[in-house]
Amino acid sequence: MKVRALNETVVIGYGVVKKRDLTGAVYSVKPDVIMQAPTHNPLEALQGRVPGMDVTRKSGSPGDDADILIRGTRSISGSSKPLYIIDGMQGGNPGDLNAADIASIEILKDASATAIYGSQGANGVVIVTTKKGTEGKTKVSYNGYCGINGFTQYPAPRLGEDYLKLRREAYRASLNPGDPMPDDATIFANAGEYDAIQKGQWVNWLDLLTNNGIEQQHSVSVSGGTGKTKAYFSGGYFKENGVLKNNNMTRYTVRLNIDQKINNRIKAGIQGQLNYYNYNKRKDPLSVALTTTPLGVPYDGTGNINLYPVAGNTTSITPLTDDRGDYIAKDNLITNITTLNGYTEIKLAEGWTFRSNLGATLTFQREGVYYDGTSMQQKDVRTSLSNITSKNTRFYNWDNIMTYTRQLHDHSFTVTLLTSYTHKDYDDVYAGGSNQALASQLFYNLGATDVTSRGITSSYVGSKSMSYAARLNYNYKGKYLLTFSERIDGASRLAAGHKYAGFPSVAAGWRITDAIKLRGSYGIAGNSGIDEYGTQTGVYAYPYMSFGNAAAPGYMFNDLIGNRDLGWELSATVNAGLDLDFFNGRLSATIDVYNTKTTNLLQIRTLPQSTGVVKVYQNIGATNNKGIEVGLNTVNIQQDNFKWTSTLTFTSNHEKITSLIDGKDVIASSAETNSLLLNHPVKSFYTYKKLGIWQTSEAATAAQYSFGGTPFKPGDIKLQDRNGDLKITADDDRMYLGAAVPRWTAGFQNNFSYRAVDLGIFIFARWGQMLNAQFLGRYNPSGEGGGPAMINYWTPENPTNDFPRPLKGASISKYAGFQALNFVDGSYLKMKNITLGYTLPATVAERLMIQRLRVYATGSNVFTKARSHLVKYYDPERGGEESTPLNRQFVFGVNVDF
Amino acid sequence: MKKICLIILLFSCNIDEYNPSGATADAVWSTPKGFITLVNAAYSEQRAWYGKEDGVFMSEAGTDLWFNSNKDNYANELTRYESFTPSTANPNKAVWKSLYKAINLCNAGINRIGQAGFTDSVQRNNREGELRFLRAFYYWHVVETYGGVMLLTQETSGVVLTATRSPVKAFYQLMVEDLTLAVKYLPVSYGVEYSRATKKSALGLLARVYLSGAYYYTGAEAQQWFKKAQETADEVIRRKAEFGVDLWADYADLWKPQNNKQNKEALYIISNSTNTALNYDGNANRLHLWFLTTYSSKPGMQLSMEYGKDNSRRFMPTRALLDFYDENKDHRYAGAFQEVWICNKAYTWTAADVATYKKDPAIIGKQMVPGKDTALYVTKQSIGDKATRPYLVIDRDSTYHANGAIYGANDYVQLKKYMDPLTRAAANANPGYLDILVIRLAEMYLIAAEAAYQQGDNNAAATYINVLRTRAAIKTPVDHTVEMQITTHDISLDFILDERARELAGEHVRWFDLKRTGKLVDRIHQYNPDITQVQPFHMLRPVPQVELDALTNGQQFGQNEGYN
Repeated sequence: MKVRALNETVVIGYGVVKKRDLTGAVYSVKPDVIMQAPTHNPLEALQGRVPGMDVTRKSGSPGDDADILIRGTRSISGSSKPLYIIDGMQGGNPGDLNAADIASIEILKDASATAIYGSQGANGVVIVTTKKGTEGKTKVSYNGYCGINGFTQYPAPRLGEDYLKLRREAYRASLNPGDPMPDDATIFANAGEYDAIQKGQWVNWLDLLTNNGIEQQHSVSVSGGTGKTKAYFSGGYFKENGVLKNNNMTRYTVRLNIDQKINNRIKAGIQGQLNYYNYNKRKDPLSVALTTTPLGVPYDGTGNINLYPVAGNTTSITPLTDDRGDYIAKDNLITNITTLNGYTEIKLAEGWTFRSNLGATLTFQREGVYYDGTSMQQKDVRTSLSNITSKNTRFYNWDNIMTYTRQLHDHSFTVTLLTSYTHKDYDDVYAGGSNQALASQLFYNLGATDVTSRGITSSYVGSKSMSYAARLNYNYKGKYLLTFSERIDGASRLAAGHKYAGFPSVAAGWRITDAIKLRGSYGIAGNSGIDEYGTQTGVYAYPYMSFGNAAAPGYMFNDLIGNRDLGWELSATVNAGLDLDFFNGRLSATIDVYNTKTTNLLQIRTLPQSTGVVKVYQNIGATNNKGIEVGLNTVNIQQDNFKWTSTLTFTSNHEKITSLIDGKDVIASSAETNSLLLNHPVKSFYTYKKLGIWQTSEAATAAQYSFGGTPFKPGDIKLQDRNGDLKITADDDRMYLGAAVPRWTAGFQNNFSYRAVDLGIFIFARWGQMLNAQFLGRYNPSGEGGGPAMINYWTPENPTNDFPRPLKGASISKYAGFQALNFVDGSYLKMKNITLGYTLPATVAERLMIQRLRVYATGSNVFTKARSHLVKYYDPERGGEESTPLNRQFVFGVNVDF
Repeated sequence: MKKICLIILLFSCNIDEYNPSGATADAVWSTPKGFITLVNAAYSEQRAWYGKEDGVFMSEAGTDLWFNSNKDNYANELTRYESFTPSTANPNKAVWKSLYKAINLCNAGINRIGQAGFTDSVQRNNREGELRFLRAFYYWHVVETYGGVMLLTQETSGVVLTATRSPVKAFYQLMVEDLTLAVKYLPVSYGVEYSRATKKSALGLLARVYLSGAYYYTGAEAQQWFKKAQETADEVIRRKAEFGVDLWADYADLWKPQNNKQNKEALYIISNSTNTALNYDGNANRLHLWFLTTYSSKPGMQLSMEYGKDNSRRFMPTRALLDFYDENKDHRYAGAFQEVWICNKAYTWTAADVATYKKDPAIIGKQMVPGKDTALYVTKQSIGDKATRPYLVIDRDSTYHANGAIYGANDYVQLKKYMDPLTRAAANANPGYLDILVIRLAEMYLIAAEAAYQQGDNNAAATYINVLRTRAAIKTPVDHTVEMQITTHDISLDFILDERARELAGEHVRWFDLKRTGKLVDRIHQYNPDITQVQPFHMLRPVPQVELDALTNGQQFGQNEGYN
């Protein structure tokens, strides 16, 4: 990452400032970083590179997005997504952009930077600026890479002798003491089982399902201009094949940015982009692959997939069923996005500038689904399913900004006044049916489905907002800085009489020297947990009424009624920051500490039954996030031939719920993952705590404890008895185990360049979070079906503390405290990215009429070291889910500038 | 509906919400056609009480008429007042929620009808009449069950976490107001939709309300209420031709399933549709289950459509109830109770049977022919030669002790009012689709009689009751009409309650009758000796604990006395 000079400008909300004059916590990212990650979503490249920003890729499915969290989770029921601004306009998603088109990304973190965005600023703001044309020679560039996406890290299934051992142990545990151990034929008595074992018909379903896929991206851009007209044009193509068959994503993008100087006073321009996505989704079979018996004959003599792999068993369908052809399982999503932003900028008078931005983002999606009766999705009902969902989304944004800049001796100030109007709506339609005769028609002939099976629905959701804001930036001698801002938001989704709310902020900075700047800020930003129409009382159609035989349709109040008093969730942040720049840019650092109190969180309140309705949203909860962020850039070695730079980011956020309705923890029906616990993070895990497994030597102690009246014995899970009453009960002994959010994250990038060769190594660590590892819950103690081979189960001869003793006929839920088995430490350290590149020497390039040519090889997600041995064979970044695990990428790429 | 902001800096845009696909209360209930959906919805919770177990348990169990041995906890709690607390007794908890859900809809309707855009004032009044009838209907159930709890007249909109108690008299005032308006607004008939509330329904309910309300007053005020009760009941009787109602000449005809739909004696009906998709739930009317004794496992018997699905055994009559009838003169016993089952499965008596059923060995080898021979005879009488009869006999002595307490609770004379061989799909089908007669003309005579009695006019009381007794008298082969008549001297509150039992046993009123007259504890002690734990405070049911927990002022609101 390059060092930034303090004179450079930074994009902030509705304007730009010089970095030296910045009072808020804003972090800038340069394009070379964004280009490094071989993925379609440029924001993914920011993982570990922005202090305070927690980026996790949602899943390994091609085209899946990343989850972005800035400074922790503040809301319980609202969204945690930051606000995305692309070229000053809302309504777009940076994930749709070509990484090569991005000029810079700014992340706004504290309230003084985000309060200007009012009710949408509480989760932070990500501002993306695309490349514009420059005056001078036309520059043509090509950036592309091609490589492999695969080498998935995933627990292998238990096979062969390992599998037999578990079944035998399960049987042994079920015998009465003194009984002899029967022979294998008795133990493996399921239909066709013993036969298959004798023939050695072991199947590794996981292997058969997964295959490394090809991934490639190409983009060409043309940039040029004259004094009056500047244009930037690009086209891009991205394709990712997942590790599963028929699971892929293709994307085309076309962008055109034009800036036209009309005369000395007026400028105008447009930025336009077209996206086309073709995404084939796949219902994940990996959990089935992991739990299906590893015996059978997957392929018949001619290489076709056997629908029933185990002879004699015609109920269990093969996990490979969706691979059997093109007309078994199809879920195709086509998305067209058209973004058009236009602006006019008029210099009204000396110091006065008026700018108007008008933008529209139009999205059209069509998802077509066809599942055959023998597909994974429909195997239990055995009828085919086909449907189409079409959705039309429109987003309009009109901002008008008046800026006045004035320098009066040593005083310099900039006043910004703005209005902002947004309108978002969508309408969708769904049509579907079952049982069409021809599978090959997929979803293109819904008229062929059973008339009685058809369903049709449609809906419309829309909202608008109208906002006004004012900001004053003042500095004295460039040394003392002050910023005030106030934004008033009006939103359609608030009830009449409550529609407007104000969001103020204040910030101050002191440039002690050129190298040291101290800043502090306080502000209030908002987050909407309120859905559209959330303040209105909804009713639902009630057809179960008649008088005599005459139907009398009714409408009844929804269980959840509206609340006219609902308001925004408010986050008040205090932020103190220190910016350092020493040794002529060889050492620069930024340190921020902050404390965010979020109040008015929406929680559902259960109403007394006498009200006649069930529940209502109330602004009543509160959370607190405080932490520290450090970003450090160093140029370690700078010589003629060799250069070594480092960037280190460190983020630590402490999140906790500080207030809930009636001051009571909310234990949800899915208590383990959905409970809300005071003084703990929002996404906390709550269940029994596993201390280990009862060992043979502890038999007497174990027998003293009981669960539901049954005493514990060696081989059972040893649980913590919180209240010491020797009885393990749901009310007294469940507790907070951990949370899905990390204690700290850190990213460490090292760039080396020696002559024409460059090497970049990026290491990322996410520490202190807990995983809800679903695959650990796949331990089947009876040994029947499949299971992960890594599960280390207790036997009298193997005194492990990992998993309890197997038992014939038992399922995992039979063991007291089985819920605790899923929760493990998810801390990990990753070698996230290694890139080795070679740039053609300038002399050679010139002869080839090329400005610059660089070839490189990148490995992504290369190596992971998890803290817990239970997660050794699994990529913990996936968060514990067993579907669509994360993959590794190895690509070769080229950057050419003509 | 898009307003484009032309002068951006000065004008503000319209940021009202636009919700075309969503159904909100404001959008749906602001047209006449949409408003009807609110009225329809307001009726629905009646069907959570009438036709379901909960309703019968709340209104008939725990009285001098019925007993239940050991079917499920809630049966003990409501029948025998054992462990009846604010947290137990599921029917009690369920009806609280259901009643207030319906009241909220009624309140919404009554307050929103002005903005529904009705242009036809007759239509509008009809709808308002229905809503007012329903609100009074639900509140009568609330106040008689729970006493003076929260009296709400506005729909819930927003966070409502507190409640205040209102005195019982305030409930009655509201009910009288609502019903008086309903009487004025409701039409005489709705035609095809016969189970909507009509004028006669409102008058009938008003008579009930005046009668039960009177007992909360004393002196002259009480007399006023009794007078109004009698007048209102009288009005219904007087106008019965106009309303198209009359007493059935034969009491048994009243209960024949063929006569069930649009029953001519009913003032207010809760209907179930034979189109199963249009009922409150899949089970619709399950009353046919609760009163049956076990028959299908008896020799010579098998489950049949005609005799119903047995084995639920929720309501067994006390001996007292059976003895209230003189079955030789009063046709109501035969019309309401079943004693004989005809064989429907060929059977031959075996030695094992003789041992099991303590019969005389002489009957071994005797056959029972389906359709011809009796197989089961459960009777209130004492049968001396039951051992030698070639069919199973369960008589008074096998069922009750000498003091009237229950001896054997598995076999008993069953109430047959609700049997349904007509609309159910199969012999063992739970769902039934018969209508339920909530208020019928006969009750008007009883209300008038009780009101007259309380005003000191025993003569009038006897006259009213004699109308019913004339109808009830067995007329063939011998006419017992004269013997059935009563005189002024026979009238007493207990007699009136006995007569109510004879006429209305099992018809969702008994508990309310005993509570209203203050006779709950006395009559249970006298006629239902197995119920030993009934206390005077049981004349009110407890407010469910979940309600008090949800109220922030639950402590202040307080629980009904005795249930803390």
